[in-house]
Amino acid sequence: MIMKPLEIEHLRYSYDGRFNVVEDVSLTVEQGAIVGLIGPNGSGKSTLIKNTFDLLRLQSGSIRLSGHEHTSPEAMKQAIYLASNDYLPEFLSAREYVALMAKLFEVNVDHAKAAELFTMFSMEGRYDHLIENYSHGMRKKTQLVSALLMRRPLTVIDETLNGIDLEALYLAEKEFRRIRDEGRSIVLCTHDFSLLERLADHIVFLDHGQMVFDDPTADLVAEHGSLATMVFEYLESDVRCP
Amino acid sequence: MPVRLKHSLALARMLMLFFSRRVLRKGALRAAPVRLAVAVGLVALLVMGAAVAYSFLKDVGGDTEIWRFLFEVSTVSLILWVQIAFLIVKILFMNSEEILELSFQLPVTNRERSVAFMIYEISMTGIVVALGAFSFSVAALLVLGPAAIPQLLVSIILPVVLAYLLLSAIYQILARVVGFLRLRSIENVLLILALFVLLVFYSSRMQGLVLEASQAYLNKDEKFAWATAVSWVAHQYGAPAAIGAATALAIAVFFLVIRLAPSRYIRHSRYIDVPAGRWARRLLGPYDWCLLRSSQTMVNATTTLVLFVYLLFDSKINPIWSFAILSVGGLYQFAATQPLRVLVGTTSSHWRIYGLLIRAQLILLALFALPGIAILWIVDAQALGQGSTALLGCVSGVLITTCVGIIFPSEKDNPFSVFVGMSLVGALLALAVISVGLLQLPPVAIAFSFAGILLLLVWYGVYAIKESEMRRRNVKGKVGGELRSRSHNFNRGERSSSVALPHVLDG
Repeated sequence: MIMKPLEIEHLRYSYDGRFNVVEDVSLTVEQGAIVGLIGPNGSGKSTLIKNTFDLLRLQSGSIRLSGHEHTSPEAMKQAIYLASNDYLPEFLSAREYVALMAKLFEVNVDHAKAAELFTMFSMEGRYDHLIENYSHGMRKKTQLVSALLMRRPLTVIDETLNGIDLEALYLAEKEFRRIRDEGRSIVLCTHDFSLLERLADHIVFLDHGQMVFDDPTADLVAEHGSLATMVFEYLESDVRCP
Repeated sequence: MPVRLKHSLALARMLMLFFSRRVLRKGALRAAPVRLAVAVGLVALLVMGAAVAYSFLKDVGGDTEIWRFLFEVSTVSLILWVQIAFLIVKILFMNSEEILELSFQLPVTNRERSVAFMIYEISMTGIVVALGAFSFSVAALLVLGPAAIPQLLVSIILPVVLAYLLLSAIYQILARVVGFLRLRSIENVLLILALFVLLVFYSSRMQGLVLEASQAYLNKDEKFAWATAVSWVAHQYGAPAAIGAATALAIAVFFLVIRLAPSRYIRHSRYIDVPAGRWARRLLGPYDWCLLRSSQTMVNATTTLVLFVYLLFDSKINPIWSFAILSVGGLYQFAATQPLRVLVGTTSSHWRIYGLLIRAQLILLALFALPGIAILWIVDAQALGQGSTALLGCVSGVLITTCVGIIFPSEKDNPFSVFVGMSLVGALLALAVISVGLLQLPPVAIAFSFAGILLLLVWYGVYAIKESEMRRRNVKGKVGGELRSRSHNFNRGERSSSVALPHVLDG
């Protein structure tokens, strides 16, 4: 039986015990799929992701990563999380950071390949430098490179692509397609709708913690013309603004 | 859920690198000669302590009864040290959310993260206790030779380890009970108070325990006391049996602590939404709100209140000293207000920044001291007489913690900087106290010396603010002579060779 990289069932979450920021959300990410996770600020995207990685205590529902309960050590090995901020251990060099990740994921890492990726992402010769001396974009690219090296069954990218330059974005797109072709999955949380139209197989649209759309990208684009139109139509609709 | 110790250790190693590469390279410690001087100073202080202890104890010679009494008294006082260190370390690590965030992208479970942090808590407590026991242990080794080793094991090392582990187990159990009672939002306050109550309880029993030990020595009795249980077993059944049993118990409790380790989740709020009335909005500024709304202040304030009430009915110490706990906020104030200084258009003099830092803490102190003094006046008017010394002590505490917070800013909420800063200040104060004792200065001279030290702290605090601001603005940076450029040919990757096509569209 093939395990789904991510299965979320009936997830609810509240920060203050009164208002739910995620309301009964169920979501499945299929193997070899790129899923775009979109929604306005405060719609519950990051809360959903933080619940997935057990950074927030699960209050209701269940989450499984490749069939493992999301809090288990096995689950931790199945997925890699690229946070929205550039908060990396800046007292390490990129090589040390990648080595640490490899040790924790229990994979062998090819540092020559890592250095090659650094060169590809216009960071030649910086692999052994302290992350402290990297710019914001370089840190984001370091996150990306580590994900490309670890190659987990699921990669969750929480707005990491927002801070990188066009050249890196182009290369990242190509790499993401490769990852998908290998049968691995990606959840891409971004406001870049054109990127999602090019890349995502499926779109999950959250608003006020509720699932608004959970459909193939091609269907949504065919119905609304574009993802941007879909979102704007929804935001101005009576459903949202009674 | 199992804990992979290997993963916890890898994370602990990462934190060690943070400690060695960031914390030990901050402020004055940036320069290697200063680091060397500090290390030499600390070693000198330890050697001096050991020499003093040896000069007192060498006359005891091989009198095993006196040594047994001395070891038992040491065990009783070291257990208090363990409790104090445990409490301090817990308070320091309570405010370490941002450094915890460093591990969020790493594939470790929450409990593995907790265990990694626990390793640090153990090391820090170990350092504090080792420093406390160093002089006596070295003196015992010098006087008794290798025969002191079993005694050191059953009276110092094993009781300390067991006390720490049992405290940890109690702490974890209480944390689970608090979670079960759905009181997680005030978990920190409750746990610190519980530790504090334990500390007060033990300190109130300490005198009795020492008395029991001295009576047992005078009457040549074999009386059992729970605090010196390991030593008692050693005398009843031999040192190997006691060492074996205590080690087995320590291992069992260690695994229990690992088993009980809670998950460490993101704290939802660093600040409490203290409502601002019109007068408060007019009087208080952002620096004040940063301190008054901090959740750390909430913990300190609650502990202060409990200690004040306890001291009110225990006449040995003036209750006003309890307000000194409020100065803990000074350790974090500089780092926490950093976002205010990077705002565009905010240029303040270094003295003004220092003044704002101190003002916030004095306001907090006044909020507690004014009603506190009024209560004291009603309950015990006589105690007000010595209250001014206590109040001055609290203000000195504010100056000291602010200076530590500026020189060793708790960058990314790390507890290590504060620990290093407090240790250095502790060592310097110890050195000052020893020097004053040796010189036998009159009280007026002591007061002037202390005032001088405080003035020096204020000056150095302002100087450190200036240095920090200059570093942030790269004031010492120079324009380079060379243009930064790619040192290699453009990497084409898998793009087509068509120069006419912008590569980003050439997918």
